[in-house]
Parts: sequence; C-alpha cells; structure tokens
Amino acid sequence: MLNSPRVLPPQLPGVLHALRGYLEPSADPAATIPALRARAHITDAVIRLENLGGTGDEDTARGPATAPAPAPARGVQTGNEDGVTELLTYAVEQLSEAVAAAVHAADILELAQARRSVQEALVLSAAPR
Amino acid sequence: MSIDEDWQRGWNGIAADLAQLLDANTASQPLSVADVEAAAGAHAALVALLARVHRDVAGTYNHDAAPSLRLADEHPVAALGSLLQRHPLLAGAALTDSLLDATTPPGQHWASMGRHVALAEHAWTTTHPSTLPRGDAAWAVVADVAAMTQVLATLDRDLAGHLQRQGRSADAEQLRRAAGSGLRVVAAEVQSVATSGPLPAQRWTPALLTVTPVASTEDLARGQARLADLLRSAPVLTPQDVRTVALQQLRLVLTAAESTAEPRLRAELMRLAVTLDPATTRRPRVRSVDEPDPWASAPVRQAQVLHWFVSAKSDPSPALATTVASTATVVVDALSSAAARNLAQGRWLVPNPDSDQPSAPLWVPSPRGTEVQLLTSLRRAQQQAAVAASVAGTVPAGAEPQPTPQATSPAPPAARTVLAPALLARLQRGADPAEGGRRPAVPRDPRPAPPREAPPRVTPPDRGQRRGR
Repeated sequence: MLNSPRVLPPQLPGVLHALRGYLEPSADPAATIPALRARAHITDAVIRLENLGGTGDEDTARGPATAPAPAPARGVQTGNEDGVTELLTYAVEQLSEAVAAAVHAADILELAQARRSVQEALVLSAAPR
Repeated sequence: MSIDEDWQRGWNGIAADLAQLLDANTASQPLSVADVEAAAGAHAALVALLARVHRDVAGTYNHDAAPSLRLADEHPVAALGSLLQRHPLLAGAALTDSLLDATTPPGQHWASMGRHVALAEHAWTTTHPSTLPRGDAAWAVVADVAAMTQVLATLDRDLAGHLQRQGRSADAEQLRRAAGSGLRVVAAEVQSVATSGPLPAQRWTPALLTVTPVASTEDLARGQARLADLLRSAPVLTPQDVRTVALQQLRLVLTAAESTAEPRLRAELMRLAVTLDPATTRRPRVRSVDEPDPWASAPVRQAQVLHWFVSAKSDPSPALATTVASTATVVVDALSSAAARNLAQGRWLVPNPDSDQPSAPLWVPSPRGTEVQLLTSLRRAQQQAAVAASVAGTVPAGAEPQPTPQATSPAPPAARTVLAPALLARLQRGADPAEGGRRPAVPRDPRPAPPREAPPRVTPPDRGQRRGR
C-alpha cells in the first residue's frame, strides 16, 4: 500500500471492475494451462492495481475504510509517484502477457481494452502537474 | 534448513565451544600467534554479540549508566548490560583467516566459536524486531547471556596471559582490568535472578527475514520449505500477502504441470491449480488490522524468487513437476494455517454480518464458525495438494531427488545448562597462582530455584525487579 495522499486516475476503478468481472466465475475445472496462465496474469495485475489503494478496496481495516478518495477530473496526486508508475507498468506487462496467453478472441479484445486503459492511466500518472 | 536452525546452531555452538575452552584449561597450553589472533577475534565478536542480545532483550534502560555497586545491587540486569558495553573489544584475526590458521585445539575451539558467533549474530540481526523474545522467553535468553558472560569473564584471564606472551601488553592489561570489573559476579547474580522465575519450556524461535536463493531444482525444494517457514513465523501477514503467495504458487504449479509428460501427475497438478484459483482471483472480504509491513514481506519475496526461477527456465528440468508436487503441500498448508491463525487471533476482520449497511460494513473479528471464503478455498487446495504429493511419490524414480522431510530431533539443552557444570568444575579446580592465589567465589547454584508460592512474573521493562529477595 502506498503512502497517502493518493488519488487514482479516474478510469482505474472501472478497469478494476472489468478485470474482476473477467475473473468471475471461478476457473473451469477443465481449463487449459494457457487459460489458467492468463487468469494468473490478470489476477497479478488486479492485485497490483488494488495495491494503489484509494478505491475502497484496501485490505487494511484502519483509516477511512468506506469512502474512496475523491478522484479529480484528471491526473494523479500521490505521495509516491515512482511506486504508482511502477505498479501501473507492471500491470500493463501482466495484461500484455494475459492477452498473449488468452485463448478466445473475445477475451483478447476485452483484455487489450483493459490494458489500454491502464496504459492511459500510466501516461496520466507520469504527466507533469 | 529450518528457520531457527541458524540461530540454534550458532547459539548452542557458542555454549559448546565455551564449555570446551573451560575444560581445556587453555591457560597452561602454549598458543601460536595465529591461535591468539583467532582467540582475540572470537572474543571480541562474542562480547559484541552478548552486548547486542542483552540490549535488544533488556531494552536500553540504564545501559549508559556507569557500572557501580549500587547499580549492580539495584538493577543487576542493567549493570550487566553496562559492563558488557564497556568490555574490551580486542583486535583480532578476521573470521576467515582464523578458521584457516588456528593450529592447536584451543585455537580451533576459539575459531569455531567465532564461526558460531557469526551464525548467531546473523540470525539475530535478521530477526524481525517484533518477534524478539519477550516475557519469560526474554528471561531465558538473559539467563543464557549471563551464563556465557561468566565463562567469558573466566577465560579473560587465560587470554590475557596469552596476549602478554605475544607481546600485546596493552591488550593484556585491558583484559586484566576488565576481569576485575565485577562482570562475572554481576553475571552470576543476573543468572540467579533470571532463573528464579518460570522459564518457558519451549525455546524461543526467531522469525528470520532472509529468503533462500533459488538457482536449481534442488534449491526449489529448499525455497518451498523456507517459504512455508516464513509464512508460519511471519509476525504480520495481510490477506493480500496470502493472496499474492497463493498466486505465485499457482504459477509454479502451472509450469510444473506443463513440464511433465506423466499424465496422472499432470492432471493432479492441474486440479491443484484450479483449486488454488479462487484463493487468488477472488478479492477476500477480509481486512487486516495491521498495516502492510515491509519487514514482513519476506514470504512474498520468497514466493517471487521461486516464480522468477521457474519463469526464467525455458527448458524445465524433468524433476520440476515432482519437486513442485511434493512440496506444494507444505506451502499450501502454511498458507491455510496462516489465514486461520490471523482470523482466530482477530488480526483479520470480517464484515459484521448484522451490519445494516452492507456497502459500508463495520469490520469485526471473525465469530467462531464463520465461513471465510479465502480460508475455505485454501482448505480445498490443501486437500488437493496432498493428493498431488501422493501421486508425485508414485512417479518412477530417476527423475529427481525427492526433498527429504526434515527430521525432528530433540532440542539440545539450553546454553546455561551446558555451561553450568564446566564453569563449576573450572572454578573448583582452584585459583590461578598468577591471580595472586585468590580462590574465586564459587558461583551460585546455577539450577533454577525451586518454585515459589507466587513466582514473580514481570514483563521485560520491569525485569530489574526480578530479584530473589
């Protein structure tokens, strides 16, 4: 979890929601190795994005557990910019791996879209303020 | 290697070496220059270690106070710390040199002690600060420190003689002066105080933070064992940590399944991956009362080291699948136990089922019998991991060395117990004429005092009150 204050790029909660939806339902018992590997990459990206905090998804019970930090119209304000960039970069990498490992064309499209959103968040987070 | 082996090997090894040195009566034996160098180096390392351990366990209270009779009388534990901090640190050989150069048996005992001090010091300084011994466990460590200090102070005179013969008069004089500082008497008093109350039957176990590097399939088995140890002893573990470790384990299992041509093993590994999946993909409805602790991320780091090893291997060893299948069970067991422990201890909270605001629930300790999805998933994975391990055991040999389960040997006796007879025998042999014929006072009976009606049970900050008076 990064230091406060932190405000996420506005599109990230939506990306997280979409990725979590992708991971539901649980893995098919007859799933193939590439399919499970793609799920693992997505899960890794989701965990990293959740680590950014500020989405009301923190695992720590202390602090304002209920209210997500208000997202500004643009950009990121954070006490640890390097950490944000690092986490977003990692999430993009994981989603790229997931795209590569995905079996179905529809999955590939959905994941590629999520990856693009995270890439945009990455660009926003690195933009000068 | 078991997680506390570094510490136990080092700490018990010091006690054994000190006992050997007392028995050997080194004062009368000629030592070579290299031996004296080794002895001086090991002596300095031991003084530093005892002072460090004492300070960490007993706190810094009164450590800066100058040693005095009054301090020794009122706060013997603090006086011991003060004297240890001021004990001479001799210049000696580097550890690597002394191990090679020591020639005579006493020199080799000193060199061996230097090695054990290095082991113990490494284990102690890589221990998570929050897991340092407290309460009765702290008293047990204080008693050991006091026992070792008594022997050290007894050996000081022998070493001073050897230093003198090697022409290191200033060092010899320093040690002789220190020998008259009352260190041994204070240490004996502290040992008596420390053992006057209850001491824990179970030995303190350090929570090490170091991860095992993984560069081969054989290392992988050790890395898995270390990961399980780290999970069991992690002082702080968030649900996110558990989820991350489970994810890396799932990836390990997938790579292992991919690498094997053995159909049953592959099928069981795939089932294990599928049963681990819900523990990783579903966001746990569990929160931790602890802030994520960078010190305690060792299990996550170890899990990543394991993942990096298998993901970097383009041509996995045929032994990979059986190694992963036979070791995943200890890791998944440890994950499940860690989750259950944190829930039972109230370190992880669940949403209050009676909350009238499901979107903004109150977080409460998990009531007994509550089903927590993360734990349920891990328990299912535990069962499947056991099946995979049993199948791995039936795979024809030739593929790999199976990781051997760690044998449980009886715990060696405490350092103070090892040292007591040797110290008593040494002191009963009589005084060294070089000391002016004074017969040193026989130490108090080192055995624990018989139980009293109301043994003093104090917390570490009050340990100065643990007096048999």
